[in-house]
Amino acid sequence: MSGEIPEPVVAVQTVGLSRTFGSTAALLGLDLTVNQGDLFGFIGSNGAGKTTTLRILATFLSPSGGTAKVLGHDVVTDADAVRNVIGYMPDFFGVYKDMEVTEYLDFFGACYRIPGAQREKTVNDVLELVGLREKRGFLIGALSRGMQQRLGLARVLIHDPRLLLLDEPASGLDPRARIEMMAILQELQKMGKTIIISSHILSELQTLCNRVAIIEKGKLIYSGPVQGVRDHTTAGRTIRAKVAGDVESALLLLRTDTRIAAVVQENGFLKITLASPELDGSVVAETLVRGGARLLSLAEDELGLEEVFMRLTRGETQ
Amino acid sequence: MKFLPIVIRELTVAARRKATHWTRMLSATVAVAITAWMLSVMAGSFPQETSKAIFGVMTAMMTLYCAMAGVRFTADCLSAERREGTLGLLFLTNLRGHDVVLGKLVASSLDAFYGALAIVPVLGLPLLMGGVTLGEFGRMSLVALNALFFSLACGMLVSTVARSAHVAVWGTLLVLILVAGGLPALDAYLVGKDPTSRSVFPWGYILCPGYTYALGFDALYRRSAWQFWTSLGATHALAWVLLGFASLILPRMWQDRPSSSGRGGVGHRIQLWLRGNSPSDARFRRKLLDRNAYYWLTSRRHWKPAVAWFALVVMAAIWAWGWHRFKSDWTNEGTYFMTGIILNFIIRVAFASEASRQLAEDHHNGALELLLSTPLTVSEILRGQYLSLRRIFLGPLVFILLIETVLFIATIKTQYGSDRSMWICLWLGMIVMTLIDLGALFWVSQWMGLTARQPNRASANSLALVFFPPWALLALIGMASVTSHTGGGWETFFSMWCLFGLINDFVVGAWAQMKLREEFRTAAQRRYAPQKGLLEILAGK
Repeated sequence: MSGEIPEPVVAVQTVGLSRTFGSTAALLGLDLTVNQGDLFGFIGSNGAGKTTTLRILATFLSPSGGTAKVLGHDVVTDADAVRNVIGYMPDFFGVYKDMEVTEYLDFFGACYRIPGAQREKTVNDVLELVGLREKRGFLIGALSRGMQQRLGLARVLIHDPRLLLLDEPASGLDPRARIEMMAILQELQKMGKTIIISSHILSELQTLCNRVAIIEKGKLIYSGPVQGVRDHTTAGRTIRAKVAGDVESALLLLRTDTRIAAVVQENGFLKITLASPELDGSVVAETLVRGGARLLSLAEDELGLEEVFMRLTRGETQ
Repeated sequence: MKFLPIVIRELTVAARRKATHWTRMLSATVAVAITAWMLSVMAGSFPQETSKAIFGVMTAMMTLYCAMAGVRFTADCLSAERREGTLGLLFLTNLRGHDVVLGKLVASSLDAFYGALAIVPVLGLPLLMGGVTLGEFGRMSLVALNALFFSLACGMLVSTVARSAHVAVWGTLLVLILVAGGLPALDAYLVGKDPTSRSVFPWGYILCPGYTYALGFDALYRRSAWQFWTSLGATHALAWVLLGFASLILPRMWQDRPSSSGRGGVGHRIQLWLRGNSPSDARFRRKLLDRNAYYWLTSRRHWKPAVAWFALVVMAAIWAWGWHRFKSDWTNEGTYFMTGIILNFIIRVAFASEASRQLAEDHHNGALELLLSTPLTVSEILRGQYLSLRRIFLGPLVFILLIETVLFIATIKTQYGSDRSMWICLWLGMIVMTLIDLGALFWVSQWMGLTARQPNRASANSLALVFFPPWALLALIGMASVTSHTGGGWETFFSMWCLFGLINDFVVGAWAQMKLREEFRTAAQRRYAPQKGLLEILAGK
């Protein structure tokens, strides 16, 4: 028993989730599962349905069809319970610019029914966590965009929620602020929080998240581990090979092989795209060696999340 | 075409808007309906008499609509751009102040202009029926369009200097009421009390659209043509002066000020003063927050109740001035009753404005989305609103009721017989209706705040919904009784006014309450859903 990996506990589950706005369908039967402790990346083009999904999970929007459960609570029939366990940060969040930082957090602490005696300590703790302790007496209107985003994150954390729904939390931030924000999120994951984050900065999601979902036109295209996303593409792997001597002959050899989809010369290397995802670099080695070419090196190009995203989606919106 | 590029762009955009066409159609439909109704009511009258009545009613309505158009159409057009941060983008190009001012004026006023223009052909009917001359027709059209231009120009100037939507809208309304109605009305009242006295504000009449309107009819125009054209020309010239001034100052007012709202900055100190910075203020705020978070949100500025009191102090100062200047002439039942009407008007307008403000702002800037994702319930939000409004208005309302009781007693002490009965009914009716109106406004204003596309229009919409239907119905019945010579006494009209007001308050109040309790969250989501067109709604799609 000790060697067995425990079954993941589901934090969010949607089944056939749909939402229409008039004649426009924003979500079309979305089936999504997020496990507890996941740092879950939610990827999609503008208008793909990410924000609509997060708003439904935050109980702000009601679904037109299907069900959604958050930590066991239905978002429609048990919305109050859902609100107590989530922290929702919208992409465009209204801040009261004439409030002080502590006032703002104190107010939301009261909204979450944190007792007055406990609120001051909680406010200080979350300010410490997001690195805004020095700004506690400032008016929100005087904070930079990055600081306001951090304040938004502090607000989300004020009632110690188990699930964080973050819609584009890093949008508009400079590189340093983005990196710091991501570090905070990793810290929160270590504290046991489940985090769903939608973002356009895919390279960061690739390193940050353990699981991702790709959504297009309101439908789920992929959901699973970041490492597995590449296997989901229908296109073949990309191999980078270096040969000595007659490069033109090597090119000819590769182009006549039906298992190879494309070959181009790039910076002294041959960039070879295989015809199907089942094939690997051995195909290239075999073709070149049998044809008499002198193979110096062979390596597989790591497919980035951005490239996979581009291959899987067409950028279409509802 | 390089001339006035914003005007061309904005006209093109406005021409494509559905609202532009619907406004024009609605105005023409209302005008045709009223005309048809009057024609049917006055079927037995002489055609000339009928045409004069129709012409009088239609031109009066058109002039009033035009004179107040600035509040609705231009008051918040530049201030909204400044708040959104888009005004600066225009000035980063080669555009100059007058390009922007005239462009926004044209864009914002196209609906108003079309609305007025759609009524003009209907005015042609009385012309064809006889009894109305071509000169009257032309002058009245001119008066209405001139009033529209002046009103829109006032709105533009206020919008240039204001930042908050509330300041812009109420500022424009105040300026228009003062310029077009306040001074001439006060003067007329004072001169009316003593016909031998000289006019107190003789120049005040010149800018009043009502004055120009009255002079436009043949009977007065024949005797006072010069005054008519002077009044028309002065209003028109002043409108251009206002626009010129707006164009001049706008390039100096669009830039963001350097932030001084960091700790210790001027902005921060102002905010601290506004919210109250003493230990007792802090204790008070903490108490509010523990009681109801939304109550804290709407009441955290300690000076809020002071604004209502300030309005009463201003009113008291005007009253004291009148008493000092006119001595015993001031203290009579007419002044008392007018004081009561103004006090009730002020508290209703202020109440509607405050009841709709927070929800409208929160909905507009997205803060409501945050609040509704917390465990804060709709009932708690409504309860917070109630507590806040009670804190701000209960004191002033009790004070107004006390003053009105004193004025009421002073009135009935000097009246006997049927006059005494009349004043008792008028006073009691006014006081009771004010209280019931406030009850209806509490629900209607909040619902309007939640659903209005533009926050600044929420309070105006609620006031219109609560006050317009009974007054419109009463006006139609009044017109019918006057034109068909079957009018009743004041008792009939007073009873009808109370009855219509009660029914309307109950219906719209109950409707808004039901909507708030059952559809609050749905309405809060609505900003993200594309709006249906009228045809789609009618077709049930």
